[in-house]
Amino acid sequence: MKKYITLTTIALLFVTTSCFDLSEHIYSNIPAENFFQTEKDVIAYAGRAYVKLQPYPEEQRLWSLGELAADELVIPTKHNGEWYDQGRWDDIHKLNIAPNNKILTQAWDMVFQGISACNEILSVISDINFDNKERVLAEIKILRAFYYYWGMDYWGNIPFSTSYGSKELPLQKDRVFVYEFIMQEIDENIDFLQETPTTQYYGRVTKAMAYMLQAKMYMNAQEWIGEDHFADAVTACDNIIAIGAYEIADDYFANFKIHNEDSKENIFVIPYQAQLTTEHFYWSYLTLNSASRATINMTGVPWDGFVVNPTFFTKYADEDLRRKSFLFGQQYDKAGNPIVIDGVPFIYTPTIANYNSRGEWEGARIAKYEYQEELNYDVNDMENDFVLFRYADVLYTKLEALYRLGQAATFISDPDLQKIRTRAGLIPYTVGDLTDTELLDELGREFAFEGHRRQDMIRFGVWENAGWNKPATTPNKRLFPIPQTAINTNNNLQQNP
Amino acid sequence: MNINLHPMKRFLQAFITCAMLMGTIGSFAQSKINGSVKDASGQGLPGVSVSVKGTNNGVITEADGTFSLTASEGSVLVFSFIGYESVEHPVSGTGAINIVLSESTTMLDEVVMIGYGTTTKKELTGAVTSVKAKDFNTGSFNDPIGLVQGKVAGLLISKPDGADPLSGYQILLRGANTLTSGQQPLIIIDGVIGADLNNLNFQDVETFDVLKDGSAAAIYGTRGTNGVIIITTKSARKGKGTFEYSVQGSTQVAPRAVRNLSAKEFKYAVEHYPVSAGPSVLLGHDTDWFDEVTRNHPVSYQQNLALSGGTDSFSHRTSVTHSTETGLLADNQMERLLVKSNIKQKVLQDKLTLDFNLINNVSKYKPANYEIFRQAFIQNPTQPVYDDSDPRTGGYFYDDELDYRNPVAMLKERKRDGKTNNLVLNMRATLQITDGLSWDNFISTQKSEWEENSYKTQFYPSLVGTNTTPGVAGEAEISNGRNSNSQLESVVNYATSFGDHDLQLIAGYSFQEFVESSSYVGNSNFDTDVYGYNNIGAGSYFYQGKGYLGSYKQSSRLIALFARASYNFNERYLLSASLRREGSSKFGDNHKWGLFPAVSAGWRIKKENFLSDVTWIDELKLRAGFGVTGNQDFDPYKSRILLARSGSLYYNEQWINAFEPAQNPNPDLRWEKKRELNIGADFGLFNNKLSGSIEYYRRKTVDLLWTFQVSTPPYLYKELFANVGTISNQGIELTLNAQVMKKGSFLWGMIFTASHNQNKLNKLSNKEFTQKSYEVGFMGGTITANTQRIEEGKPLGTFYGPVWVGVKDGRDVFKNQNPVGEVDRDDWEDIGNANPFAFLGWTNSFSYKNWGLKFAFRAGLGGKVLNSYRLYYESWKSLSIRNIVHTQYENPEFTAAITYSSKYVEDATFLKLDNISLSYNFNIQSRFVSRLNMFASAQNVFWLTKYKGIDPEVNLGGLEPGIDRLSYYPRTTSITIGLNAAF
Repeated sequence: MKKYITLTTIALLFVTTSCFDLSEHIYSNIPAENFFQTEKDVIAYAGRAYVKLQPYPEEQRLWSLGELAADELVIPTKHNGEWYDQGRWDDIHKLNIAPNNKILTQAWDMVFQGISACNEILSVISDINFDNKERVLAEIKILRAFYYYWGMDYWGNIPFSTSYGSKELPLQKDRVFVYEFIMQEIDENIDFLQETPTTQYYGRVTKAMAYMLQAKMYMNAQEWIGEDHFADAVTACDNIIAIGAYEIADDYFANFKIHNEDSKENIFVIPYQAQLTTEHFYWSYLTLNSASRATINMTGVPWDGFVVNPTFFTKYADEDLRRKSFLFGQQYDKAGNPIVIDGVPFIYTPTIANYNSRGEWEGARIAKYEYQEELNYDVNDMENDFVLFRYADVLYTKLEALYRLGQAATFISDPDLQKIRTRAGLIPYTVGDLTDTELLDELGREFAFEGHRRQDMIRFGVWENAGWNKPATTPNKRLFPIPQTAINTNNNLQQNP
Repeated sequence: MNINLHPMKRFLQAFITCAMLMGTIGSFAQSKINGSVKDASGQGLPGVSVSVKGTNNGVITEADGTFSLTASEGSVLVFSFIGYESVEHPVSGTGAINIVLSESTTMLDEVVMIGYGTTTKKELTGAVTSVKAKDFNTGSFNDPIGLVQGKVAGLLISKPDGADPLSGYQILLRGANTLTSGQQPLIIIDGVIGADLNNLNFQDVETFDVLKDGSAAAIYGTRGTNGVIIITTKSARKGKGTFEYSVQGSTQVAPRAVRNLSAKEFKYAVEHYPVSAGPSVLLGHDTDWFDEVTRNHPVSYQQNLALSGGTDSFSHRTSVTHSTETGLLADNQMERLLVKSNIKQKVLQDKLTLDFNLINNVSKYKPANYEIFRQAFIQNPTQPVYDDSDPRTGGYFYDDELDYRNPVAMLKERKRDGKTNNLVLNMRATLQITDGLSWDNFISTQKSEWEENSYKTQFYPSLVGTNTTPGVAGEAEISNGRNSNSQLESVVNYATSFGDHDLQLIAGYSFQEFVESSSYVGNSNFDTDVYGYNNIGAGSYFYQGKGYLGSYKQSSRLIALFARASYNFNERYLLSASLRREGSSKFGDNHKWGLFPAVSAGWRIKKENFLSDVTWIDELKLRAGFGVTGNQDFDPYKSRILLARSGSLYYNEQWINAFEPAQNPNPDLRWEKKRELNIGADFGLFNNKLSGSIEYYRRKTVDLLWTFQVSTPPYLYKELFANVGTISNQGIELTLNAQVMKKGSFLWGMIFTASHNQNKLNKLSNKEFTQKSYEVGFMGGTITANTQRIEEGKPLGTFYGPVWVGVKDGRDVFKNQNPVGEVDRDDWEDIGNANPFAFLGWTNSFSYKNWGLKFAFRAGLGGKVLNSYRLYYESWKSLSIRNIVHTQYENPEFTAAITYSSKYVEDATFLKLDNISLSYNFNIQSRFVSRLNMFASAQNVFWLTKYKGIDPEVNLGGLEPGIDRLSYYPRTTSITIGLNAAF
């Protein structure tokens, strides 16, 4: 009898365990619960906070939105109707941006998916023990602060959340609140960050990066929270100078060459690799005309859309070496022979006769980053690491802050500062040279297409001015509208005025 | 004489009785009787019970309707068969007895499949429609569901892909009840749940039973929402060995394609109208592009061979089908070999019945590229097909225009084929424990393998000019996959009667597992085009980093316990209740299991005393049922946190792969639940010459799944798959069966069905997801407009757009237009819904002696259809190098650029003659051939409609119904001649 009971029990056990088993069998994905086996897995998981930076210089993201809204970049409709795209580029150029603008939406998504990723990473890895945990947590927190810095700069009043796991919709916070948060995060975490920028920390958040972020916050405090923090900005810059590891490169373009990882001027970059990074750096595609393929031995056919604002181009003196950031005039093939297409010399003209119908070779092209050979979209993309912060910015930020404090004389003869001018083939500044206009133009020339221009123009109070094929605007256009998709999905959000 | 006969007769009767009594001991004085049983149309009837009255002596007729048994002179034979009137026939002499059974008009004892059991029509309490072989459409069908098109009220069966031999029917029942999950009813073939209709030849089907309402379908729980179609196939039957053969040949005539301008008209238009093209587009040729890419009268054929027979304890049936179907598009074809074998064996003193099934379906096919028809449409008719001036184009005329490709080159420079191999194996073991108690165990596996290959040569239009050295630009792709569906079910069935009470109980367990895997590889830049797709490693794309390959695997499980009790009192009061508790691995941990109850009741009023004297009413029954069903037809793993690679980052001086959750997980993911109330009445009037049923239903699906836009943060990504909305459908259905006339051997029968359904999306938002309307039906390219909205309070398939008033000065005039002549998005109006107000089906069948004639009409009343060809190509502005629709030529006044408006949303009302057939039965008195029948039929004969496109009956499933797309397959009329013989 006992035997039967045992048998029945075994049979029942079998029935209850296997016949009612509804657990999912997963084959070609990784179930999250099995993921964290080694320290490397933690880094692979946390590291995506950095990966979320990689879309930054793509054509429909944050960088292009900011630069196109400012006076550096224009994307006129071509003579054959290309690049009209339902007027979405033109709307940004004229600051007449609808909340459903695709570029606006994708820029927002990049920032807030970055924030959400940081929140999720922090909530997951906080419970795991691993080497250098405090440093990794600090890096992710500063990165999150950096995404918030972009968010408050572009949109002003933004949804704010630092947690993950709740369905609670974030409340909308103004710049004062977000400013405080960013500064507090920097204060609390900067001590855990790496100070000396060894190659191990290339592409990562370091102390200098955090100080630079702090300096940027202080510089714009007047605009953002109505407070004067220029003296604090000087301190933040001095903290970076005090690290003593950064220098102004002899050659301006060394910072932007294909292998710019050895630059001692660059402080914070987004590294790219031709095949491994799934988001790509492909300015060659955005800006070049297909005739330029001969110049750089390009494999793919570029899209010929992003050109230099003709007015911005005129800000450079002829002898300014930094003007080589652009392609203009007669173009040459790899061997140095002038390119002639169907009997016509291939010349990029910095001027554009008709904004609504740009000629094939009109407009100077962006060539600040050295183009490698055999570029091919999605197959072999640019390997230059995109520069977000560099040492010249530290020195120019300090100069501007001191200028605003009326103390430029204390710094004007700094040899590193002077080197920024001399390496461009120009004479160094004297205090008398410094005016608002000159300083803004010089910032434009030095940091052209590095994503600074919009912030600078607002800080110098010229944002509302009319520009090339752009009417004057009202001050409410300093903020971008919040994308419709964000408002639709979070009823706490109020559209910007 | 008369007086003398009386005692004689008595004596004879006494003698016969004696002889019969003796017959049970020996077989004294008995003789062998042969004969056959046929139906009114002369078709042999298999399975008819032939018994000697008052004895246990009896046989069943063979597949051809013949029988033989021993009976004594003077005894009475009783011929009975479900669905037919019983006949008694005295035995006299030894001559063959040939009986004609006429269809029973009552059909009350007709067996109806209700899932895990059967009932009879009179005892049915749910909305179930049963269609038997005699009511099937006649002809040749690549998909057996075509047999019942128009026969079941509320079951919409259409063929949106026209004459493509690879395309099946679209099946929709009682409206759209889901947004994201599948909309197709659950198909059950001989007990295999989720069976593949491709594994069944239409000639092997015996009956269709359609479980329409929730109370009937709830026994299938999570998969019952879209209704259930139970198909019973012809199976092994005892009897002498019979050999049946049938062959059908068909051809397609009268192809209907979207009409464009002929070369002459094109030239006239360029010269006389404000077209976008200059005279340079006139190239002087006269090319009929449609003709260049299609076959003239493609011929298809099908042969079927069936062998059956056996004894009471061992019987078998095997059918072999070979078919070749040739499509209108010149390279489009499907060839299939289908073997289906069934063996039945009784063991343990007939207590245990074993039923084995084996199906093997092997097919080879060449799919159609629908884009070729669009390219043939837009192609400049004055342009030649061939031009060898440029060696890069392979001798084809080539124009480097965007999205403009020589369709002949597309056809000839791409080799594309596929094959499938499906194997179904199952066994059912039924143990009869006592008279009323049986235990049924079913184990089944369905495996299918598929492979598709494609090679585009360097001359394929999109590859012309992309040759790089070394190699040519050819493009090869190979993909393949395997699916399996394994099922285990165990059901206990108990039936008992006591007094006027009948009770039937079932209880069971069901386990089902689905596994799916696939892989693909693509490469380009080969040494030569010679390899085709057979040497895929020879391309250079992999070392250039551009080749692609991948693989995928997923599985899911469904487990259920279920029970049903059916009770009736005196066949007058009927009650049935069922419950299924089912779990699916796809759902979130918090909601793995769901409960699906149903209850239904019937009252046969005719059985009441107050109707017993009303002779013109033969049957009157009221039914009501309520049931809950679910839907889980979506991909697995939606509730889980799955990690996927999120790119790479440079960390610690090396590139490492980063990982992230692949989607926003939703652990609360749960069943979409549909609740349905069905009220129906069955009736039989005037001696059952008119019978039918009426149904009224209200169905509401709650916890509707939808991919919502969500805010980041708190979510990681912008989309979340969640249960939020509610959708409802209500409608009425009418089915009428009428015996219009019966005079001598002339018979006229009619089936009429009508259905009306009203769909409404009640809710798609809540506190968390606030958006109440979504734009869908996007038409890209030169139009770029969303043509439909999914909006709370409106039915799915609602077109929104500017209201078109007319044409003035060559331009469209709209209601509420702004000064620029456009209508602001906010002023767009509801301009109609895709779903017709009603569907009608009308079948007539006539038989006279050996002749039979059948025709079936179907109609859709109301509804709108968006005519894409007019939307893109009805303007002189659209005529560039590209051709335009002929309707512009007929109404040339419009000269502006096209914008989307109600102008292109047309009335979809249609009347179709789906099917007409004529058959003849030969009177065969041969020892070898027992039955011979020939038929000729035409399918898709004609349709009447005001629609300016080809066919207003377009895809009505999914979220964007009613859009007649640019990529389409033309319609044809197919004419079939067939022969059936039994030996």
